[in-house]
Amino acid sequence: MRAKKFFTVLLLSLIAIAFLFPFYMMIVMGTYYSEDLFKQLPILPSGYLLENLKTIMSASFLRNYWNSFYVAVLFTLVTVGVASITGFAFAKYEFKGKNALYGFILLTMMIPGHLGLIAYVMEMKWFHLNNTHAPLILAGLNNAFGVFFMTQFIRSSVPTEVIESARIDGSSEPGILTRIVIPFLMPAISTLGLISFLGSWNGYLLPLVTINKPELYTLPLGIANLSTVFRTNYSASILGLTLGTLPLIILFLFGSKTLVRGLTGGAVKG
Amino acid sequence: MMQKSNGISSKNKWPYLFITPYFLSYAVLSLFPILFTLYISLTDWDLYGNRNFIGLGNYTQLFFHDAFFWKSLLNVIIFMAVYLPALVLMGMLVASLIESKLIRRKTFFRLSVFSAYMTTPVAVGIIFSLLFDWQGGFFNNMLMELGLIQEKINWLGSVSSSRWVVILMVFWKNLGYFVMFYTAGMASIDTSIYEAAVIDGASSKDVFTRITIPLLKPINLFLIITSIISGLQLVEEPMLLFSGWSSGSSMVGGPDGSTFTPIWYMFDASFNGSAFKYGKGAAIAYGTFLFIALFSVVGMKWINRDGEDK
Repeated sequence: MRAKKFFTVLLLSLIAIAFLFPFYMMIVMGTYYSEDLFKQLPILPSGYLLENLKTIMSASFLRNYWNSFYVAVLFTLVTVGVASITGFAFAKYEFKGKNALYGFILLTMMIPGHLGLIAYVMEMKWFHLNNTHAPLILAGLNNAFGVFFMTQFIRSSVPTEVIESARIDGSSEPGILTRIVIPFLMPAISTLGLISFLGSWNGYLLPLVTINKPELYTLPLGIANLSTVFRTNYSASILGLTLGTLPLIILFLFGSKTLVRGLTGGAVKG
Repeated sequence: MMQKSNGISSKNKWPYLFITPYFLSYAVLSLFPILFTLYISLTDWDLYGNRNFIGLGNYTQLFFHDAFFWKSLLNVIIFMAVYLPALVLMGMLVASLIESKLIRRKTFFRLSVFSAYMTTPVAVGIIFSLLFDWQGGFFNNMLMELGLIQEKINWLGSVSSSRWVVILMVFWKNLGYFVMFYTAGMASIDTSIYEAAVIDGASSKDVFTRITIPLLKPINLFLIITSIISGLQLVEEPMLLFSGWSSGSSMVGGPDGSTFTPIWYMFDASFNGSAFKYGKGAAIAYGTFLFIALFSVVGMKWINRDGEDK
C-alpha cells in the first residue's frame, strides 16, 4: 500500500511538472539578456528582468492590458445580465411558445461560433463600429450557453414560493427579479462571469478581424504583435507573453473552484 | 376581481419583456450574420465590389477543385484521431489517480493540469513555437545537452513533426478540461457501488473498467461531441505556432500546409490574403459546418451503438 501510494504521487508529480514546465520556461526566459538565451540552457532565472520590463513598457503594452480589461468587464456584465433575465423568464414563468423558444436556444448552442463571422464583420462595418471595441462587447448579448446555464440554475435553486409570496406582498415583476432572484444567483453569476471574462480575455480571431489600430489592440493581439515590435529583443517579447498570461493565472488561483464547479455542473447532471 | 386580472395580465407581459433583449440581439447579431454569410457564400463577393450571385459555384470549386480545403479538413481529422483517444484515456487515468484515496493534495494536481486550459490560445501557440524552435528552442538545446541528438532538429519545418507538435499542444491544453469533467463525474458516482464491488472481490482494474468507465458514458458523450465541434474549428494555436514569433517569418498553414485548418483557411481567404474573397471564405465556413454536423451525428450514433453492445 505504501509503495503504491509512493508511485501514484510520483506519477502525478511528474505529470504536474510536465504541465507546468512550459509556464516555468516562459517566466525564466523573460529574465534573460536576449543574447544570453542561446548560450546555455536557461533553467535558472537570470538578472535582466527589470531591463526587459522597461523595454516592454515603452511599447503600448499597458494600453493593451487596459483595453482587454475593460472590454472583458463590459462583455461579462452584458453576458451575465442578459442571461440572468432570460433564464429567469424561462425558469419561472409559463408563457406561450416557451418550450419552442427554449429549444431553439439549445439548438443554437450546436452552431459553431465562426459560422457568421464574415457577415458579422461586414455588419459592424455598416454600423461604423469597426475599429472600436463595440463588436467585441456586443457579442456577449446573446450567449446561448449563458441562458441555458442560468435557466438550469434558477429552476433548481430559486424557490417558487419565495417569488409567489413577494408577488402577494405587491412586489412588481422587475422588483422580484432584482430584489429576490438576483441575490439567489450569486454563485451562478460568479461562475458564468468567470467563464465570460475568460472567453473575452482570451479572444483572438474576432479582435483580429475587427481592429487594426495598435492603440485599440486587446492583449492577445498585443502579445502576438510583440514579436514584430521587438524583432531582435527575444527575451523582452517573452516577458510580454509572461505578463499577458499572469492575470489569468491569478484569476484562476482565486476563482478556480467556482469556475470548475460551473464548467462541470451543467453537463454532468445530464 | 380587478386586482386579480391585473396581476395575471402583468404576469403575461413580463416574461416576453425579459426574453426580448436576448432574442432581439440574437436576430441582429447572430442569426442575420449566419444567414447573410450563407448568401455571401453563393456570390463572388470580394473587396473590389464584385457581388454577383453565382449559385453553388464556390461550393463546387471548394469540394471538387480545391485541394487546400480537403487538406485542411484532413489535417484536423488527423489531429483529432490522435489526440481525442489520448485525451479520453489519459483524462480518465489522471482523474482516477487524483481521486484515489492515496492522494492528499488533490487541488494542487487538479490546478496544475488545468492551468493550461485557462491560458490564451495565442500564448499556447507562442510558447510551443519557442519550445520547439529550431535554433534557440529549449527542446533542441536540452536534447543536445543530454547527447540524445547530434544535430538540431527542425521540428516546425517538416510535415510530420509539425503535426506532432500541434497534437501535443492541443493535448497539453485540453487534458485539464477532460480531467475536470471526469473528476466531477467520478465524484458523483455512488461510493456504495464501489464498496459492494470490493466486497465481491473485484480488483481495482475491474472496478475501473467495469464500473467507472461505463458510468462515465454520458460525460464521454458530452466531451467527445463538444471536442469534435471545437476540434474542427481549431485555429488560433496552429496559427500562432507559425506566426514567426521565433523564426521571424510567418508561414500560412505550416510546412506544406500540414497544419492548415478549415477556419484558418476561412480567415486567410476572407481577411488576410490580397483578394479578400468573402464569398469563398463564407463557403469554407458553411462547408466546415456541414462536416461538423456530419461528424457530430456520426459521433453520437457511434457512442450510442457502443453502449447497446454491452
